[in-house]
Amino acid sequence: MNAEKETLVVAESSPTLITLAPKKHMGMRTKNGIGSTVIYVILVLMSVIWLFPFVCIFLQSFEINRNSELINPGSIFPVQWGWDNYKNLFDPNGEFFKDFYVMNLDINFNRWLLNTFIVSLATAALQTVIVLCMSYTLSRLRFKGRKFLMKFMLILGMFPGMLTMIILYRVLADLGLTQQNSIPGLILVYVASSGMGYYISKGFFDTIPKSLDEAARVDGATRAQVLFKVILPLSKPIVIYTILTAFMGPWGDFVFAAYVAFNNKDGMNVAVGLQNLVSGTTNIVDKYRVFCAGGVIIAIPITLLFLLLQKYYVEGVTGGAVKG
Amino acid sequence: MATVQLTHVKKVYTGKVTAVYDFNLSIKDKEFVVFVGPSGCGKSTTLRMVAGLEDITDGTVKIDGKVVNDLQPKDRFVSMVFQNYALYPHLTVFDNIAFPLRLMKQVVKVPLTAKEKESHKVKIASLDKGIAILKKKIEDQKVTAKRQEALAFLDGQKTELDKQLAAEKDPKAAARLQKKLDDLAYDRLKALYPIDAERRLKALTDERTALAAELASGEKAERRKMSNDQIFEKVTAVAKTLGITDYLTRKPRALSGGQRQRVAIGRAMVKDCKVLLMDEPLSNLDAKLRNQMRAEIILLRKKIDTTFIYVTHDQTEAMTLGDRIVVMKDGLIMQVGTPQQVFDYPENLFVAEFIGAPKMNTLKCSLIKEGAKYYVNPFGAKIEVTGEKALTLAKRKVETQEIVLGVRPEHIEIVPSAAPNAIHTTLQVNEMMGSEFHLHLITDDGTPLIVRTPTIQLSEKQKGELVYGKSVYLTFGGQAMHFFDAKSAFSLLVDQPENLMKKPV
Repeated sequence: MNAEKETLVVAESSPTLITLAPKKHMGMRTKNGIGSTVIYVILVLMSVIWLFPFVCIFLQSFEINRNSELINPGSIFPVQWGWDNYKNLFDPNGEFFKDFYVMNLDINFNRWLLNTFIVSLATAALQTVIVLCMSYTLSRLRFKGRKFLMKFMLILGMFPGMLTMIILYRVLADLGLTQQNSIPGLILVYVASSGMGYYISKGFFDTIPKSLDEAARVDGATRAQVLFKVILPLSKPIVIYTILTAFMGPWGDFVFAAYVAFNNKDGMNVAVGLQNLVSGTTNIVDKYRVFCAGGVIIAIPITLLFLLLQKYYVEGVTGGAVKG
Repeated sequence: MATVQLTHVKKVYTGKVTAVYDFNLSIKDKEFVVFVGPSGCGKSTTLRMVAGLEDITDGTVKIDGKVVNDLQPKDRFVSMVFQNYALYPHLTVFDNIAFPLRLMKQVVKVPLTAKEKESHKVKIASLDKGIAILKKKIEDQKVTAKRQEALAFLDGQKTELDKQLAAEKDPKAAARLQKKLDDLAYDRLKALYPIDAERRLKALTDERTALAAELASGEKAERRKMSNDQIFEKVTAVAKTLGITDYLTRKPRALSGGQRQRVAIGRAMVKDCKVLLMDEPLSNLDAKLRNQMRAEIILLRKKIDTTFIYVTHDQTEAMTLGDRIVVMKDGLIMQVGTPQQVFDYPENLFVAEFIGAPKMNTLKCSLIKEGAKYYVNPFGAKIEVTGEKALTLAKRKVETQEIVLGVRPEHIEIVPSAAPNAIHTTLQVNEMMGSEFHLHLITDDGTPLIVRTPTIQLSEKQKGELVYGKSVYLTFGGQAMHFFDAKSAFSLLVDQPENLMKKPV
């Protein structure tokens, strides 16, 4: 508490208080020590609160005691450990999902996982190309309407995407890209607006000196060669950032994916499918644990990606933000 | 290795700021031309227009007799060295120098396969057919009466439009009519000469001759990338010339400024370019290194046999490097000439003051003609103009008039007070330059003057006396004077080229 008061005194910078401050003399090291202790306590508390649901999901996915809730209500640690939930998850025709057949609802986690992968990979590839080309164009080429286009997209981006959902569904339905065909439909929608996410990479490209472009062009490069041989190698962090964000968007999307799949199990992604799993049954406790297992599975690839590319990701976000 | 012609080149930025007004210059093959001028005079813009990095608003740029206005930089076969080096940070020095070579495609002769020979024969036969058809078509177009009719119709339309245009008062409508007229003129031209048909005929005949030639020689030309061995050879040769062989594996960030600039020069000289452009290549270096690199560029020039255009704001660089100097100011050429010409016969006051360091002293006074003799009267003195300059003035029939007199600091002498026609000044600042003093003086009426005095001529006592407030008597005369018209600032000694210093409206 003492340390807090001290910092307050300095922060207010009232002249009388400042002259008084030296009287309560305290060593710099003690002061810093107390200050960082307070900060760390706050941070630890915050991370516990933040991580709690994820830890619960992880632990519950290993609970195999069917009646554990009755025996030990409120416990987050499994009474009995095992892989049953995972086995059940990957076995759509097994005993476990029998009650869904009765209700005429199919469960096919493998299919959902595949769907999610296809959508995410396709979106990541297409969106990255579009975003980078767009950013390069806006950063380097000067053409009529460039400023207008950028402002227009900024304003367009202020409208909530939810507003467009109904009309998008209508369009996709007319094209026949909903329900069992929802995968191409989803890719189309995710990729269509991707050019608008040019801000960060354009900001990054702006920091690369223009004379490099000019030198390359005089050296005999076309605009495309300038982009691929000079700009992109210098923008590795931002390229990886773009790929990661483009991959993550569809990977975790629920609202729009649910809307387009419209209860067709072949068109669902993992998020939508898992939600159906816990909403479509009366025996919710058992299904909840399988749901948790699904959540853990879906988190694995993205976690791995992050761990592998973390260095670039951090560089990319800050690099673009600070300089741009 | 090429000539460069700039004719009426103009640059206007976003319709408002004019950077270059009317640039006319013909650069000879293998010439070293330096554009020099204060910042913002348009020298870099002109260079970038030659490189193709800036659009040309008006006028034409020719390289090797070919108009390059609409060519991309890569198609102009120029190289460029940038002020900030512009090295690719992610590539090693070797890769930086090899960069242009890797993009380049060479023409290589490859023997034709039997299959290709067959297809060539077939193609030639079908081309022959096409040529025959086109020839007949052109012949038909020439004679038909229908074409005469069409022409008469177009002419009728033209007279009608001309009448409308003459009567039209609204400028917008007039512009629209003018556009219609232009279109019409093009239509008429097309009707008169079947351009497309003839162009197609030419294309077909060209293709046929090319195929026939390939078939005859049994070889075809193919554009291929340079082999790695060739690239290695070229890059190492360049590196050796520039003395950067030891750094080839380093990245640019591990190099010093001078080394970086060497790499940049290496990258520019590695491909056989027609023109080597340098945009203030030494400005980012410290003074000592700059002098060293300047000498190296002079040596390098003997090794690279090509046309140079060099941009600088430093008059010393311009004087030492250039075969010819182009002095620019505010988007206009002030003077073009050899360093000696520009130094000895500046065409106007701007050039006189810009070239030479410290700058030329300028004094307002009168030029007086008495009989056959000319005098100037700065600060009440009466100094006779002698030698060649007097003859030139007489030849040009210059009369008594108000002038700005220019005298270079090294042409002013310090004299004892008793000397006739001596001008009294007071010393303000004494800059010790080692071998000489630069004395900043002020005359009795407040005109500042600079004088260069070699220290070797002064005794220790005299040196010690040169402090603030000391009275100094000066004299100059004879040949070492320049005369400029007080109003127009043009030199009275040389003919002025047309349009100089006049901003076209």
